[in-house]
Amino acid sequence: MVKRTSVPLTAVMLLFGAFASAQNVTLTMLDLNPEGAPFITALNESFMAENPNITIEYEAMNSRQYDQRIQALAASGELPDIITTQMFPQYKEMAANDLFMDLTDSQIVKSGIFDNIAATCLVKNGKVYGVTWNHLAVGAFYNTDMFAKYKLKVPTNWDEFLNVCAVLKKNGITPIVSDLGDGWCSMYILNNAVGNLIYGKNPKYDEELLAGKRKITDPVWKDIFDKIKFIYDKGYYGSNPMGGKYEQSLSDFANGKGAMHIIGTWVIPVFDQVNPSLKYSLFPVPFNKKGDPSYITLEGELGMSIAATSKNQDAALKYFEYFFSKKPYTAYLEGKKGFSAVKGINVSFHPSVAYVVDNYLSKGKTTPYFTRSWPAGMDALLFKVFQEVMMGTKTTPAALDELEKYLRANLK
Amino acid sequence: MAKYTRTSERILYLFILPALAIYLFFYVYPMLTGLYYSLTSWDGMSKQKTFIGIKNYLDILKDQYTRTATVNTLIYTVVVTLFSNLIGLALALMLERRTRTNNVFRTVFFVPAVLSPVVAAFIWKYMYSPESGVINSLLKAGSLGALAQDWLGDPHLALISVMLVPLWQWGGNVMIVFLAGLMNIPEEQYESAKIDGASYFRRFIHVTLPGLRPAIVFNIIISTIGSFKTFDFIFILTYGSPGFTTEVLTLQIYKHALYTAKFGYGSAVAVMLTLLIVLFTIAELRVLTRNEDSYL
Repeated sequence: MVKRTSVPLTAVMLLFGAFASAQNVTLTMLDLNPEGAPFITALNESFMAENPNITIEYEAMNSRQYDQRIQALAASGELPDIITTQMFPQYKEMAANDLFMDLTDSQIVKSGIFDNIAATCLVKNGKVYGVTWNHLAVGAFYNTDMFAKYKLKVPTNWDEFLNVCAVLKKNGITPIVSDLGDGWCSMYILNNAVGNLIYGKNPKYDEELLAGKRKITDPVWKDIFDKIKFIYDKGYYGSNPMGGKYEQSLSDFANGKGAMHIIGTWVIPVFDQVNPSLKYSLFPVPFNKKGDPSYITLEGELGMSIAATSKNQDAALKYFEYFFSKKPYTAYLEGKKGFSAVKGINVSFHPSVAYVVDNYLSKGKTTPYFTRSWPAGMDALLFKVFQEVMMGTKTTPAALDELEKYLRANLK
Repeated sequence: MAKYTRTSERILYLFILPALAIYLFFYVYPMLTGLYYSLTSWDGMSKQKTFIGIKNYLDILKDQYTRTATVNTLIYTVVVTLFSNLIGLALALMLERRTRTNNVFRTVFFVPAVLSPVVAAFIWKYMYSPESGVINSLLKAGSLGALAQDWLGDPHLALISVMLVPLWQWGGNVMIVFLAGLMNIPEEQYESAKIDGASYFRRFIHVTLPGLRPAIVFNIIISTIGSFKTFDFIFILTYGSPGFTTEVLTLQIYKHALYTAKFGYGSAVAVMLTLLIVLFTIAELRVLTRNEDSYL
């Protein structure tokens, strides 16, 4: 009797258990995007409301610890189901080691909804390992009231930019409040410089650099470093750029303690939150000579990948499809103030980017991040030697020589 | 009877097996694994770990950044070990007598030791802020604005500024050990020295310091090892910046293992750091316990 009843009972329990486990899924999600966290959180909540059987455990952390944490989790085989990824080399290294799910044949990638930047965000050996949430533009945000007060126009070449800085400094205004103490913050002025002086003239520069036809020791790089060193030595970065911190610099700009901040468009919600009455706009730092064309840096901001070891890949893919569907994605873009990565979905632009949309984005005058093809770790070395050059503890040729050696020694 | 003793001794050895197994698995195995990784070109992610012999160690000798980090680590270790012990000793001597006021001050000086190093680093990071930090604000309020500095951003000041934080945090800890040591020095020795007409300085040299020898050995060894292994302070305060001025070996290990995809090389630096710590500790023990049998 016991045997007769226990068999169907066990079967029912197993079925129930299987049903319950198939229904209730917890997706873990790790993000390096504290500025965008409120918008991701809102999107996650709407996803969970529509999919009550899926719970998302979301964590956002700052970028300094993120890369290392991801790699540590990867090494221990404990990656969260969904991970924020970028186009940087260390993520491509992880992709090459099959740590992320191959999305090439997934419905969302095959549907062709992503534009070219998003679709190539995290591609390694022809396979897609991640998709971009949105794009960002990099340039100099400027306080429009301050510019108006001193009758300054948006500079369109290097000499005009120097003149803007000189006028502001003469009037007791710190021209640039960006900090250089957090090494990665130096990347953004360099992006504008490389875009204007290298990529704009030669879109195939990366291929030639990796092939050894171009070198980091070429005169153009010295020109870039020298130009930035000039504005550093002139005091246009303020009195303590190496001791400043990223968060403080955002607050300083929003509170009118300086006229310009060279950074990416992800900070727009922060500026608006800190000082809703701040009037500001964006232009690319014009490293070009008078008469030469200028470009703005446009890149996939952040994206997401699915861990290759995730047991919840179907639920994660469902989340991806929800993320990029019209209503939630539009709400996300409106909050984040990012540029759409999905064809056919666009939101009204934040007023601060109107100038770059009209003069650069709509005309295709954009260039990507310059570290896309570099070996892992080379960007970290760049930040260090860049600081040393700015402080005067290393010469520009010595710094460029170190970078060139690192590049050649670490190319795979 | 002798045979019975030998057998029972053998059985007793069995009782240490569980502890030995735990020690081997949790202590020896990770160390040997690290040593093995240091002989490979493993990137920290791939399944393949290619054995490359001592190449990573040879690369260390050629790597100018690891060289800079080694020099910084040595400077940090010597300065922090020396000054934390001097500060701790001075505090212990000042607060040796048991009075209510001294008890309050003992607590005040010991409180930083209770804080997490991360919390301490964040407190000092804000204090050092060139624009809004309390240090520069106080200097400016006291008409000493000319002394206000970019404490963590100036390449000539950054390492000094970083080293002040462990001195602040560890000074009280060192003080407590010295206070315990002072309590163990027999009062009769001081009285005899006084009767012989010894001044305070001579009593300090000939009674206090020899009596404190075990505490000095303990404090210096612990400070040295702690300083070599320092990570949290520098990670929070400067992350090795500006340039390489505050780069230390632990930070190099972290970056190589978890950022530049050179886990094998990072492991080699870790092994080198361990060897440095062992060598320094042995050297210190030899010097500090010369003519003494009781400490080793």
